[in-house]
Amino acid sequence: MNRFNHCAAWLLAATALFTLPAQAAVDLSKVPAVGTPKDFVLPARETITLPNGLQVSFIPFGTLPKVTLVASVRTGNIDDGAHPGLADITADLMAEGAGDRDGAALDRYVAGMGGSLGVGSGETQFSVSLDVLAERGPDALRVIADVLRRPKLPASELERLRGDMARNISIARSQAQTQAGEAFQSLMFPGHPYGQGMPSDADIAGYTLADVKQFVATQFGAARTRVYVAGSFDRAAMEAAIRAAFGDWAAGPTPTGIPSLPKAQLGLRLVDRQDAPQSTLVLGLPVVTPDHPDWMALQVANSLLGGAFFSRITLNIREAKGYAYSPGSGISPRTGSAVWAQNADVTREETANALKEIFHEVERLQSEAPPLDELQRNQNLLVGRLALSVSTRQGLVGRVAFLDQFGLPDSWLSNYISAVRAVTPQRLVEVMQTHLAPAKMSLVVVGDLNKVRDSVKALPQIQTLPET
Amino acid sequence: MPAYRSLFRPLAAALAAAVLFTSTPAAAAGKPAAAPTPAAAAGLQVPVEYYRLPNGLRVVLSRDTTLPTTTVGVYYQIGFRVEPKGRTGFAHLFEHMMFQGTPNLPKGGLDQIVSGNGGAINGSTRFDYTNYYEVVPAHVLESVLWVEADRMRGLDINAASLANQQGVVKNEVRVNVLNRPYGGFPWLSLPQYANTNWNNAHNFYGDLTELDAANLEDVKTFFNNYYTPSNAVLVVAGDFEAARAKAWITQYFGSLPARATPARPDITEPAQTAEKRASYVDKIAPRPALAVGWHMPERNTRDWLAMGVVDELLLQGDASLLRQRLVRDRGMSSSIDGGVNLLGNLYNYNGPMLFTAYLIHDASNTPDAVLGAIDSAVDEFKAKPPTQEDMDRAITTLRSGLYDVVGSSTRFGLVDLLASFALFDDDPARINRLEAELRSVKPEEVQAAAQRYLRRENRTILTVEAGAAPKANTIGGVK
Repeated sequence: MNRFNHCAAWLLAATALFTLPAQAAVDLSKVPAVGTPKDFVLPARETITLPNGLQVSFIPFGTLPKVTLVASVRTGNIDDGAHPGLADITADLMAEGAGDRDGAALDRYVAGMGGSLGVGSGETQFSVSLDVLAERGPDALRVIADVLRRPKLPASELERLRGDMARNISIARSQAQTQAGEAFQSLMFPGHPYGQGMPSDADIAGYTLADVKQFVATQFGAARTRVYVAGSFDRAAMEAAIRAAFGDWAAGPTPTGIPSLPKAQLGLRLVDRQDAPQSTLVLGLPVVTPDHPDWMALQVANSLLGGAFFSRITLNIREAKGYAYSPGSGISPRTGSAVWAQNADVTREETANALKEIFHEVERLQSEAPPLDELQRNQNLLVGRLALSVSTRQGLVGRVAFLDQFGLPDSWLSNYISAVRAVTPQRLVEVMQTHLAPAKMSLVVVGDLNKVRDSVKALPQIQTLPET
Repeated sequence: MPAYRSLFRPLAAALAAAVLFTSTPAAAAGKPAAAPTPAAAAGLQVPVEYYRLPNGLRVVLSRDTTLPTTTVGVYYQIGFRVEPKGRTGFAHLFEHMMFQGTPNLPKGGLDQIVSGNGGAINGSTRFDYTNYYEVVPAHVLESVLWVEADRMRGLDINAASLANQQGVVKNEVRVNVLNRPYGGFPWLSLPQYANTNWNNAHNFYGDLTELDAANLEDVKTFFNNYYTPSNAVLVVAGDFEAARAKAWITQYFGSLPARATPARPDITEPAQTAEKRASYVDKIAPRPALAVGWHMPERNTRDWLAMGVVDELLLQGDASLLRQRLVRDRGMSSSIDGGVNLLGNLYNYNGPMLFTAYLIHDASNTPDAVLGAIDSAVDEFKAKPPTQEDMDRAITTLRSGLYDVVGSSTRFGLVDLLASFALFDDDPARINRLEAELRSVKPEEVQAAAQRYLRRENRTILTVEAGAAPKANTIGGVK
């Protein structure tokens, strides 16, 4: 049985920033001071393990009569084998009827609970989810069990779903951001499932019903599965439903390990997109994973550098220069790995100038400690956003599943807040030097290369970067 | 990711598929909905206190201390329908200018107060309003009320910040429309073909040259005309103490002088009498697409309410009839999307509106084949009233969705409904009657509304030709 530590997320959030005292005769030209933060309590979870290894986390939350159910199975594209995307087509086909309901009946049944069924695969996690009116919680749980244990996998739907997948991938690949993302992942994870990108038309054409059935037969089981129940529910009734629906499920095979990670390729990848009025940029590198002691400080550094709207890169290339609308940086963790990247879609004519400014901001933080008030704003932002993100059923499940995926204790979340608060200006510079060194960053540019190639390659930071 | 000040609404899953790095412009309020079933006969009840300051500002308070956060929304009744001719996109460009500082708070200060204390802030421009909203830890409320009153009092507008935001907005148009396959389809493009009154039929995002033409005088005039207390609603929802909140509201907003708002142009749309068709080539789209838009009945009529149910049964969710027929039975696409008001929901607009269905399909299906499939499903729907099971499912879905609107940690959807009902109906407590309104709709009314409005003469068909059609697509074709 696990519990979150309760903590006071905003207890320390009082800021020195705007502390002009409210005056007796009110001067409307002065910003009033912020008050004293209230305590914020993270919801706790209780976890039980069934004899077959299935784990269940119960997270009572909120007062509205709704409940979110998610079953997360440790499989995904790492188990695609010779068929990239097999986990995805399997997810699609599993949604096409289960138990004694065909696809159309399942759609109607689920809509009648006030929800819609989600079946999807990631690289290492496969999930089946439903969010429904509270009184339908046990019914929804049985639907999830049907999908996982008794999917119909109708042969009649396979061709249609392959067509849908091919269409959706062709649409995704026509987007500059997807083109940039796939190129960047291939640099970060050469030859690894994490870097394989979306399946090709030939991959999709190759899926057979036998492949899907084989995937279902070999990649699912109780010992690989965690069920999350969050929101309003009758604890005893829900546990009884879970034991009845999953108690006799076989433990199943041991989860696949992550193939060992390759060394990222340091390089410049230029992708031509004729006549594009913007260049789509991704600049980044591998960083440490959430279990590393520097993770929290790295989050603060990211926020200050490019993650927040008031980050240096955004204030520079958007609010000072007007080169971009929605630039931003972030850290994407995967099991065993994490990557930091700055993304931006910038005016074509300013491509090199935008890159120059981005490098300038990365370089400046390698040596120059940020002012304390700027640091505190970013710390407040991260703590406040954590509070907002765990204040919905889906957000809570997401955070808890994140802990489970990375093998972190529940105390990690409350430590997150104190660790974020503990970062000093000097520590932030150290983290920048250790983890966000510009010389180790790879760059992808998707744009009209005839117009942008020369100026990009003329940048001093790019000249040492091999074009790949 | 706060990607700020967006006219843009997240597009269908098909368009968003597999974007590895998103910096998604802030989400618009989701498909809203409505309220409870027999289990909770009274339905969802949200506390609503509503009053008006002497200068005309309407105030809505809705207290809920489940979370120690407070959400503030200021909604001005000026949308992109009513912007100066020759200045397309100006209402939205102006929205950006509201974040560029005031005589009392320099550019950037607003975000430092809100996000720098752990909150979130954004704004958006829609058909009939422009909104500014924040969610903050409860102890930051007074500061947020101050900043909203401060920018209602006046802006620090200068040539540098205008030029800067013209650059930003042009890049917003590029990233969301010009460099994006299906950019602006159909939410931006379809109204331009379906409508005839310029107010409803121009490019709301703006031609780049007209965005460039905007000057400081335009900004001042627009502010003076429309950013007045009597043209606005202030909503405060979440954790606050009512007496203190009201005292702050009086203190900060009460001294703003009342100002008149100019007469509105006529935004009515003449009745359409013949089917319209239009087509364009999207040079970077790999597959063709099709949209159908039907003019909606006037807001707040019985037919309008019934069309809310039509939308739910015909187009919303996996169980809806169009989804079942086009996706499951015919395999024309992985989804068909749309609804009433693609930039919002059934409630948060106040003028002519379209009910739209759209999909991206394969070249192996001609537009006429896709349209035939839509017609066949619509005819099937119109042939008989919905069953009781259908009606129950629609109410359940709407109720479930309303709980999510109210229960969201940002409360932005709740604030949006309260503000819309205050702005357009002078009745924010209407939120507590949504379920009853929808329950009052009879199956025969649903059928009758579908028959009256889902007619060919009342619709516009827009097709997109795929300028970047795939070379040899081995399996994309369907049955």
